[in-house]
Amino acid sequence: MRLVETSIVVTGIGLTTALGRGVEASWAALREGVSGIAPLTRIDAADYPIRDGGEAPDLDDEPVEDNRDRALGHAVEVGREALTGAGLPGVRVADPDRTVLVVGSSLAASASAPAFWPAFVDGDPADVDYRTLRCYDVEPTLAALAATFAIRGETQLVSNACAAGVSAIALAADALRLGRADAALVIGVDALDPHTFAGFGALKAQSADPMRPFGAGRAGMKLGDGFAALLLEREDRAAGRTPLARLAGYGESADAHHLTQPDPGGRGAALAMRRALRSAVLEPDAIDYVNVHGTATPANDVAEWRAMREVFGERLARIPLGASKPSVGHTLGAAGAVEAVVTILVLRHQVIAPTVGVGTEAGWELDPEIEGGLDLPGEARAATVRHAMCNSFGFGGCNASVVLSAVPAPETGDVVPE
Amino acid sequence: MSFPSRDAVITGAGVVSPIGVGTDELWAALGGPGAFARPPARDGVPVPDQASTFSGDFDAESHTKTRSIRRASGLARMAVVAAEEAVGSSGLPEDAYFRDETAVVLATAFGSSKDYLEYQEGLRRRGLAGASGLLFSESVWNAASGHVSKALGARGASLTVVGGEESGLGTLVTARDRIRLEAATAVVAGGVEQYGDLLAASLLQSGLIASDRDGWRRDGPAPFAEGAAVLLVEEARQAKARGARVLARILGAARARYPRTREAAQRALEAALAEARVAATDVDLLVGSGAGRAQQLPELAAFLAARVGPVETQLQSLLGEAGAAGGGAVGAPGSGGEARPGWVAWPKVTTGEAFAASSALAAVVAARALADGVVPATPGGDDLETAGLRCPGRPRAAAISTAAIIATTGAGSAVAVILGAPEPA
Repeated sequence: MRLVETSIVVTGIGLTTALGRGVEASWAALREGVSGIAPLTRIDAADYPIRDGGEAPDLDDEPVEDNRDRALGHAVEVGREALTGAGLPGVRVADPDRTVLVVGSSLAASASAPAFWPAFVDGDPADVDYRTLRCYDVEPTLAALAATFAIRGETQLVSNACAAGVSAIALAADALRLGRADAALVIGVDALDPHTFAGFGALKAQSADPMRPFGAGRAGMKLGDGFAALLLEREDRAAGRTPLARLAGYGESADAHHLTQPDPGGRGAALAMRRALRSAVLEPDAIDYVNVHGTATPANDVAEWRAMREVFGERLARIPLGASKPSVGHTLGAAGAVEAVVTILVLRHQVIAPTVGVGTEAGWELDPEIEGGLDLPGEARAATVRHAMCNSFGFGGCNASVVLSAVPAPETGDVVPE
Repeated sequence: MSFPSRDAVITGAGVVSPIGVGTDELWAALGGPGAFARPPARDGVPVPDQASTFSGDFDAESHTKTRSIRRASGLARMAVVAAEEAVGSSGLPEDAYFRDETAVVLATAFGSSKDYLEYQEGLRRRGLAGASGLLFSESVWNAASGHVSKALGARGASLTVVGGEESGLGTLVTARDRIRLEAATAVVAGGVEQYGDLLAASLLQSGLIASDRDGWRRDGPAPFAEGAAVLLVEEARQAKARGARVLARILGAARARYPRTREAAQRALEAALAEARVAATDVDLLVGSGAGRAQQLPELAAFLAARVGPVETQLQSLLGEAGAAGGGAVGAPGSGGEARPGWVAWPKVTTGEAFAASSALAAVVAARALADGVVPATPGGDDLETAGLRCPGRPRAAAISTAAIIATTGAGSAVAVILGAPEPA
């Protein structure tokens, strides 16, 4: 196995969320501070205390009932957008044998099996078609995605809850750094499903009120559909394609603390951030923007703030932060990929996208436990962003951080025109 | 990003299986009749006649002192017990340094399906408001790896890979990668699967498991099994510095995806051999992950193609006319060298089909064979040499310096790992 000394660049991105299908639609809404959170149409929540979330627009085809199929359709669409954006003809990867596919997903392409449960619960168990459970379709789903994009390198699906999107980027980068591939298509995918919707409700992690990341009185999150793709390439093998950003480094860790609660001291999260910085060979002072995990649950946000405070020190109060979840909902296993794409857009446009609700929602104020304050813009702001960090944390105490850098690197005070 | 190069070795192993909890117990039971019996099921659910299960939840409390897993899923309990054995047998110290640098990578095809489906059944019967938070948290795909990280105090990455049969063996590729890239000095890697009646009914109707223990002999798949198999993969210099007993060295490891499973297996094996700088003719032992011709053919075909070239005749000899007839020729050139007689073992014939856990278990068996110099038995195997390979029906002492493990899925994915015997002290 060769070890290659090369930089990794992102040459294509795709994105579909509650804000729209496609990168441009999503970015236009993000920078305007639009929220895609709306009353749910695909989940019957009429008798449930939480009735809204971030549902993505339908695909052009007929609406499909099975979320697994819907997720696969959106995954193909964002993958195509990433490849098309990279200028690859025919929406096929440049070298099938030297391209890997890594999917990050919390539900791992499983779903609520709407065709099975009515038949099983309301009928005779002896007469049910158990194949309709479809909970074992993960490997065929991966095979279908590989076939769609003509990928014949290695394929994997990583499912470490809400950190899966960033972990997928990390696993893909591993293959590039070790010389096993020249390109990697990373897809983060999770369709809002009754399974997770009810589960996060049962854990009191969802809120009927708007999300207030790091805000006083915050009560939890909204959930949303998320589908995002990134085409990573070795820079020396990406001739003719325009880098959108450089993958500078990544780091992962585990809290080893609790299955569903973060380490209150944020030690595991801080470890992932430090590992990402070490991998990027950057000091904390080099980071100009952080896309936070920001789930707006009481425990998570304080733990994340403590972790960032440990890594960035008092300078944390002066680093522009952005929380994407109030705009699109928590997209779970896709969140890391979705928010990495948002971070790339911040780097490309040199504009900090606003965090929806901050400063505009009546009565919003920062959690008083967060000493020293945070720079969480409520409106879009031009800024010089050379290096940015994107953080994802999840069930099981999983933590993953990625550092992305602007290409070309902007000079101080020199905002790249849009 | 830096680009170091570090070797990886296996210093510990752990197994939870209905035929034995612990690697010693598994090793002693290989080649025996297995533990196939009528699995538990609710009225009317058409489960297989035979499966290898614990006939209920695995009794983890008698094997671990980790109190936090008492309310965990059966899947997590099996994973924790196997991981604790792997780490314990490796002698990895509990110092904060070692734990901070230890990652966890577990693979599963179905996760905690029992909890997952019980949770979903509750949703159907009681609506959204009736959801169980405990069942939900145990049903997420990475719950088992989260429990393992917590039980071990391991603060490296905690990853769960969801895939097919081959994904358990694939965790060795990830473990080796992370060690080479200095992202960890030790990785707890393996696979785990859990029995559930609805899952078993689904797999049976889908033709992915057999109804009885002899299904694979009738060209079908193997019967369902549950269990966990975990290895402790460690950076070689660290293992040497602390005087750890090395079971095996990871010489090469590769994944491949190809529309046809045979070609995927062949590509994975060729890549792993090339990385190991080992000729296929010098591999002494193949531990296949399959049972039944649909799984064994691609693995064996890839191995024979690498050793001796086009293989259809040899496959017919090894697996019988019926098994080889529909497979089509594999036209690999082979290494062209003179292959010395080799050995083959198929542990799944004894353990049953535990998907991701099975391919990780094949790696545990290969590491043990290298460490002990013993070829494990395969029921029904005989000592007749066919195509230069022997599949012993009884354990056989043999000088084994190199072993290959191959695992495949029918969807066209394969993993191959080449292990070398530990170097003399």
